[in-house]
Amino acid sequence: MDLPVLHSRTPTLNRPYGLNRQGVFLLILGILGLSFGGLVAQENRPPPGGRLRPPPLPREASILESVEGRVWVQRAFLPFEGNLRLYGCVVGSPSGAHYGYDLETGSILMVWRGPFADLTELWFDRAFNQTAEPIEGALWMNARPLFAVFPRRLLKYPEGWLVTAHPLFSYEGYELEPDGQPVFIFHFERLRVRDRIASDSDGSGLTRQVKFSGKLNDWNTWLLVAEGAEITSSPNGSEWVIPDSGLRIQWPSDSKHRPEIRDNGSNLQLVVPLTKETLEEPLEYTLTW
Amino acid sequence: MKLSKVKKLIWGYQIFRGSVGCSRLGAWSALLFLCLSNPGTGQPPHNDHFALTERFHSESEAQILREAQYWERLPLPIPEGVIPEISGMVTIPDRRLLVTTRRGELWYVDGAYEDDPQPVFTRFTSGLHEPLGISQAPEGGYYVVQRSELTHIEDRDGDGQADWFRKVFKIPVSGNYHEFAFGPYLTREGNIRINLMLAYNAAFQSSVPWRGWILEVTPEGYVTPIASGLRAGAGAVLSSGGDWFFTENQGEWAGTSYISHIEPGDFLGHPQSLAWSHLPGSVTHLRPEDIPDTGLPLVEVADQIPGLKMPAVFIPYAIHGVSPNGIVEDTTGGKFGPFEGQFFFADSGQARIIRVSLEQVNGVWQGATYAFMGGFQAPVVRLAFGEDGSLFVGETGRGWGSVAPLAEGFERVRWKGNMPFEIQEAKIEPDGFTLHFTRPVDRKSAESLFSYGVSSFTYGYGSDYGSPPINRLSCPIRKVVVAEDGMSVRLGVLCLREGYIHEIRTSGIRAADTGEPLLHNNAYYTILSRPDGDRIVPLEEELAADCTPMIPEDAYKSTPKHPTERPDFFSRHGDQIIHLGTAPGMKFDKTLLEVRAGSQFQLVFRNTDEMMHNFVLCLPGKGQEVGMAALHMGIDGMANNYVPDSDLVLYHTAIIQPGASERLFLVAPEVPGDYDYVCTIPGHAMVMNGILRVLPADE
Repeated sequence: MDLPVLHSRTPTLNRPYGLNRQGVFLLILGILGLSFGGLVAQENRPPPGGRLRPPPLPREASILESVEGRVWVQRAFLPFEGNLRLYGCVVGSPSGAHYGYDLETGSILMVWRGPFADLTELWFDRAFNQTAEPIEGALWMNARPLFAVFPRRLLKYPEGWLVTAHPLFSYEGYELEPDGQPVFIFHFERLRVRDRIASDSDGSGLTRQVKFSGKLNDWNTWLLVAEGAEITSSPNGSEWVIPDSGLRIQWPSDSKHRPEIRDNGSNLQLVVPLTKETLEEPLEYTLTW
Repeated sequence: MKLSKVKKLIWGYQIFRGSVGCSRLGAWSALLFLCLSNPGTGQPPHNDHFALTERFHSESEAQILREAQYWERLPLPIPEGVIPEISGMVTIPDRRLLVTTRRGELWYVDGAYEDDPQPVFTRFTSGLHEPLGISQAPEGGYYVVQRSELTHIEDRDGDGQADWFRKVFKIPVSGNYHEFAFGPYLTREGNIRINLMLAYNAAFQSSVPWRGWILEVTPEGYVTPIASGLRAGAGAVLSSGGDWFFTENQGEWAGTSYISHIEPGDFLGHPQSLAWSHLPGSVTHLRPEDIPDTGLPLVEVADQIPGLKMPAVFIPYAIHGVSPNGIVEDTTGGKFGPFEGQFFFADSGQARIIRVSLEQVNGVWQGATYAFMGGFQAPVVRLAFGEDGSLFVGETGRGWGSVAPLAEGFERVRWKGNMPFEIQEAKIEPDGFTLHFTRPVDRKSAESLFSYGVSSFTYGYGSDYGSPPINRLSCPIRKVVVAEDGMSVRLGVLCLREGYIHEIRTSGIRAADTGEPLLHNNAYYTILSRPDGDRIVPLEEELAADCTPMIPEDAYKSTPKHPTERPDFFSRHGDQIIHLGTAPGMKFDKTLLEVRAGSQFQLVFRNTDEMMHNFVLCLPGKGQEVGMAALHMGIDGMANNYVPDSDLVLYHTAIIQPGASERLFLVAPEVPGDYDYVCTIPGHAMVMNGILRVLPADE
């Protein structure tokens, strides 16, 4: 069998927790885990003449240290900003850069490198949280929709899609390339979009390629690349930097797609206007952090 | 426990209180009473010793060995690296299966049909979100129900690995772990049905649309609601005759587990789902406030509420399982044994398979349950017939209790071809039942009235977790007619009631050839309707029968072993107050309590879990023995709080409903030691236990 190899490891509390929210969250999870572990560690005596119930699965069985062979797409709830994103997945690459993806908005929720994912809350006991989480050091993005339509400076970028309204954005599915690399497919109005986000071969970053087919609607359509309190760019426009997160966006200098910075009120946003002229060409950029 | 709650629980008992006095009896003596009394009928007392031992026959080792003479259980070896938490199975051509696991993997299984199976598992895909079922899609590929999506999965390039995951339907979820999605069940038109369970968060909730509903989805994703009122039912089947049946688990608004015949517009009982009955597409006009919370027998409430569906079959709790899951129809053409056209469902808590026969009477589906096979290695949740007529059994119970030794597994059951002596089917008659057998009965044993017993009971309908069997009644047997060929027996029975389970005891029957008793005694037939036709008992006699119910016990009063009232000698608070609770996954929140020998203490047991529990303090090392004894209490278990009448039991609580609590006033044993405490609800004791450490008084 040509299977991806999952390396498991024993979780410890010596992870390099920072003081950020994720660290605190993981710390709380860890403490909960310890107390839960204490419970399941109780002596398990067989009934007289009866049978012994085996101990529950060890918690460490659910930590995926790394992925080998194939890209691993794991559907799960994703904890995000104190809530859950209910239709999402984490994507782990053998070459080492991983991300969380929101199928409701087409947005990258977080990116990280190194050990892949903690699936304990997906695979242990009843799995009360049903979540998959980065093991450590994730850079958290926002969950705003990838696409928006609005007249140029008038409106704030939408926070999500109204589920009761006509779905501008509709997720169709994903296909896997032979090595397991997913390409997410969705519709934005009459536009069909293929969104491929892949780890670079050295794991230094993620390259996103968005391909369009179908028709662009008559409104101004925007694609959100990144957001931050401040955004700086190199003089030739080939790199954009979000200083407060350290996120860097490399933009091919020959790309027909030209990003712009817009003010969303509290934040600056790097956005790309889609036009009938640029639609033919795939939109491509690389995220590093 | 709050008084109001207690009152509601024992309502079924109270309605008969006062007609006949009845002192507290243990489980066995209560049974004796049941067997010995036939009020007002003149029929001689039923004194068959067999009834006493076999009526509560759970799957003992001896019984499992008897079953193994006819059906062999082949555990399928699992290769290293595969965790067979099998949550869905589909048999596919060329003697293969495709199985889903709770870890989100899909595996092709080859070689599972062999006599000495050494299955080879090949991963088709991974990374799904808790898929709980799979079906072959008519247009190619497979439908899989994930937690939040009905997905069409295909291998488009034919390399043996899935490469296309199309969203068919985005399943509404709030994020709660209990929002299980079961299915996909293919309709004859090529649509897909999915059953969406409620969330559990201190109470069952339907916090997003269509939770608690059965939905039908077209391959393009268009949705039609079919039925409402689901709670946590993990199985459904489309019969070869085109009828839908659904299995539900005992709990709130489900007095016991049941099998329902599903028709569009049905409301099955849990009112939370009705929060969405105002939405476009809803097939019921019932609103949550239309559903009365009385604890009255379901049949009486259903008479008042049009649309509230009576189950086709009540599954007698603890007797025939505690947690029905997948259900299949035997369409093997006799390759699996003499039960073609009948159904089998998996019970995870008791790790066994129960048989079900269904018949349509006056347009209403009803039928009976029978024990079939126990002793599976892990909690049984999925069943699928293979092309050779053997039955594949998928097993997982992670996080949920079971009597089985393993947490997950994969097995296969094969009929050995020799004919067991079984009740082939119990069918309703205008004035009783006809029992069909798989082999001729010994005429002498079958003609004796004493070979049989019939009694009936039903379950209450309300917000409490489950219901004790209520309104029990012994049904006099007036006449027995044995067919000429010995293959069937017609029983003329008085006092039959619609909406009630009828326990048909057959322990006196012997086989004509070998003289052996039935492989499984007893059928539990739920009567909803009775046919017209020939009678063997005159109608006048039936109308004149005195059908006075028997008096069940009051299981909730304070007794020396169940001291809920403060004894006179007790100091105001006792020496200490111990608070004991529950933890998720059938556990006590504390597994070690300490008291001084002879000290007075209060124990407050609070059940914060979603299922009912009790607390039973036992002699040192005797907890499991008591737990096993409770397993054998059968229908009287509930009425006796599942506490065996045994010297091994020192103290116990009543059955505590989710969210309820009870306070006991206890005196610690004089002898120091580690005293076991367990929950004796069937299947719980093995995992839900702890130690009360009695320390020397002078330390």
